[in-house]
Amino acid sequence: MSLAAGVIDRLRAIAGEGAVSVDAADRAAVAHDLWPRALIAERQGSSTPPPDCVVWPANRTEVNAIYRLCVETGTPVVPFGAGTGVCGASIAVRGGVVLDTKRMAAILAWDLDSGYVRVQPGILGIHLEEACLERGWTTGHYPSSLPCSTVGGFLATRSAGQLSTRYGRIDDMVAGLDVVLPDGTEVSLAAQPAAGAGPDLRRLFLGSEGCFGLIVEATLRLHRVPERRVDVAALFGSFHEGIAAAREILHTGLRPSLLRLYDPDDSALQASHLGVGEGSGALFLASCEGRATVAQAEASTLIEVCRENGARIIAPAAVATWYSRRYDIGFQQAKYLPVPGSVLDTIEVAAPWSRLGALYDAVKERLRERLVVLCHLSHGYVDGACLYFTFAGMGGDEETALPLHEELWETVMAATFESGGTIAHHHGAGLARAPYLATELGPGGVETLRRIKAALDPAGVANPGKWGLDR
Amino acid sequence: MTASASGLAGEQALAAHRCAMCPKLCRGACPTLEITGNERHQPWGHAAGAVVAMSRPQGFATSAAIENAFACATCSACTPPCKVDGVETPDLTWAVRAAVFEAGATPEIGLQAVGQAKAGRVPVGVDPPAWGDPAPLLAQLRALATPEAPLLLFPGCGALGMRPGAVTAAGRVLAAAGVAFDVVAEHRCCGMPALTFGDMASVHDMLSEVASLVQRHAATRLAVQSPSCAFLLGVRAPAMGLDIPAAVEPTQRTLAAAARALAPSSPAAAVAYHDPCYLSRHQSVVDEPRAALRSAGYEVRELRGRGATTKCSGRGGGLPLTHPEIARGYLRRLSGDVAEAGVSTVVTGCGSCAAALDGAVAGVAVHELAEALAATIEAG
Repeated sequence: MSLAAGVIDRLRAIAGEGAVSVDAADRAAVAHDLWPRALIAERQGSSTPPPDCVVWPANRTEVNAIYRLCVETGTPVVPFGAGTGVCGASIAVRGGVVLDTKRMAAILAWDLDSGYVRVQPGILGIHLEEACLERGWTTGHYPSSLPCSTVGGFLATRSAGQLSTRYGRIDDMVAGLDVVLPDGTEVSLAAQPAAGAGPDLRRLFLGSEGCFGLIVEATLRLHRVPERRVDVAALFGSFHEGIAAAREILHTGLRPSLLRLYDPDDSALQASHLGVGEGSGALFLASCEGRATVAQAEASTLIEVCRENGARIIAPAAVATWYSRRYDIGFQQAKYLPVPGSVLDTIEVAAPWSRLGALYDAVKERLRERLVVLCHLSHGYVDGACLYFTFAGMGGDEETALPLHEELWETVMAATFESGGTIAHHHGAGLARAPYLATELGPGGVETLRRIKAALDPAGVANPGKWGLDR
Repeated sequence: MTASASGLAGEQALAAHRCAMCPKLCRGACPTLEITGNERHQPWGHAAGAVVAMSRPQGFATSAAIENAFACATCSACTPPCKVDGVETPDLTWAVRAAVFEAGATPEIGLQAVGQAKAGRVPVGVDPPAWGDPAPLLAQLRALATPEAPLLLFPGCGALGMRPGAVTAAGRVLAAAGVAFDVVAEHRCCGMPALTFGDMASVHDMLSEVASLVQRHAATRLAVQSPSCAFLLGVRAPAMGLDIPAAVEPTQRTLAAAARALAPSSPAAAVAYHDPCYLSRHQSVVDEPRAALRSAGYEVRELRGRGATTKCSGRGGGLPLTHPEIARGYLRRLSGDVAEAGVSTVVTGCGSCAAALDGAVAGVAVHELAEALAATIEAG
């Protein structure tokens, strides 16, 4: 779209001359996130259309005024943090204003009696974590994107970190939340250990991907940096044996911070990276942490459970090596995605334990002839776990890349529905999952979401075109 | 690092494509991004811009390509976090700058800087830029020298222009330690400004002139005081196939060895040490300056950013010339670290950094390393 007359001047009046840009290169830089479909298209010369302008507000007052201006003029407004989402949530599909949060990146307050930190959304995850570690605390939130994603992005997509089995996902870390709705209404939900009056509005805004306005502040729960970490590595005869062991670990009441089980294909790759030369099978990595006595006791029990479920315990050094490479997956993407014809993506789904094995089998069987399909289990819960699939196809020609990518998504989503799983665990919905959201939520669920969206954003300016609600 | 029809030679074109597909894992280290908040102002954005430039008829002769090439101090903060095969971020930046030069689009202020450097003048100011004749200062240093000594001092533009006191201080420290040295017969720029502004032919010419200059002496070692000059002569020139006929070492390393023989006469004082990017990240010279300071009796305190995570003063990469506002932002970040350290003196191994820091933090005195060492042996 082209902006209504006067919008740019009014944005400049709100945020300042230097905080608004219509420069083509500035707009192109925020035109897309890391949704592989957009990257493949970019590689093919089909750049994602950029927004009409970029604005960098410095505070919630400016955010409020920008939203009200956009409502008044019918201008779409799309939040943008670091642009490292993988589902296209920050793509301004209808043009308009991209609201970049990078000038709202402050740590506002510490309450270490309660273990709280209050932050603005634009702070980079790793900068927040470093500040916490300096004080002897940790968020416990370590997504593999930690060096390149923002707290606002975590909240908007409901991310989960590598240690979520112990520390929970970002949903569990939010004690308080401040939101600016599109009409300028400010919602301030104070930090509380538990708030039981009515529905939990904090959760309403988590995963909202800018469709309900902008989260302008969040108070996150912190944890003391553990005194000790005890690592465990093991090999199972099959992925299914490993799943059974993981289930037993969770059912036993253990809460390892790290809990990762790789299927045999992924294990072969990991073994070469991690220096594991002790046979094939399903590689299992875990860490227990806390007070030294507790961490050691938990690890000993975890080893017992693994052995009871057929594991061969191997040298734990592989786990330390894994930690040293914990953010490296993105570097592989950088190497392979520019290759013409290549298709590379990850899809994370989840299911209850009773259906997890079937979901794994269905995806592997349907796609292994077309693509390299790797899978690992991570993010364990009492009732189930996440399966994280990595797909790579390097042999195709460029014309088939996007059709293959589409087929890949169709197949995984269908297999997930048929197996009784959920189509997303922690990458959000955005554009990638929009075609499947109605099936995921059901008619009543999607109608509820539609009504909430209409109530909070009656002008339809907050990140329009997402979730398949208004097509 | 040559230009092709598309503007970047094969391996750097591949590097740009790979960097542009990376999840921006170095972004948290990039000072420019932190200062401007503009998504394109980070290595990923610069690489993505280069990919666009390679695909368009205008190539690198656009305002966007120029901005992408020069909104960077080449501080290499992005290098430690980067593990993408085939991507060396400063190399890519210099290759893009060479492509901009080939396209005839180099900012005029950069061309002027290269011209001044080729004429043998050194920068005595950056904001606004000013240039001076280094001959009188070299003569002062030469007064302390031992002709034909195997150690040859090459102060370099940054030290000669931005921190003249450090040049003579280095000579006094070496003399006090009984280390004989000779001094280059005249000043010749090594070519760093030409590398900075993408004029690769001039880089070759200027390096060759320095090689000839060194050849005129009997030296086996060449001690280079300006960190960026030491990098170009000691690291970059060999990689380009250009031999300097003496073993190149940063003077800070020479001073550290000499300082072991010093007998400091002043009581110990606490100082913070700032790692210059071109010493710490580009040449891994981190421990030696600290060891030198300790030998001279100082207690060395650390800044928040140190070694591989040091914060750039903003004086590198031509940034003060092309983007003075951003360069000032770099200095504010570093000044914050200095203020936080709670010391009354900060020492750095770079004359340009010292000049930048002078007066930046109220109540904090600034010394280049050689000045700090000289102060202890000359006190009282």
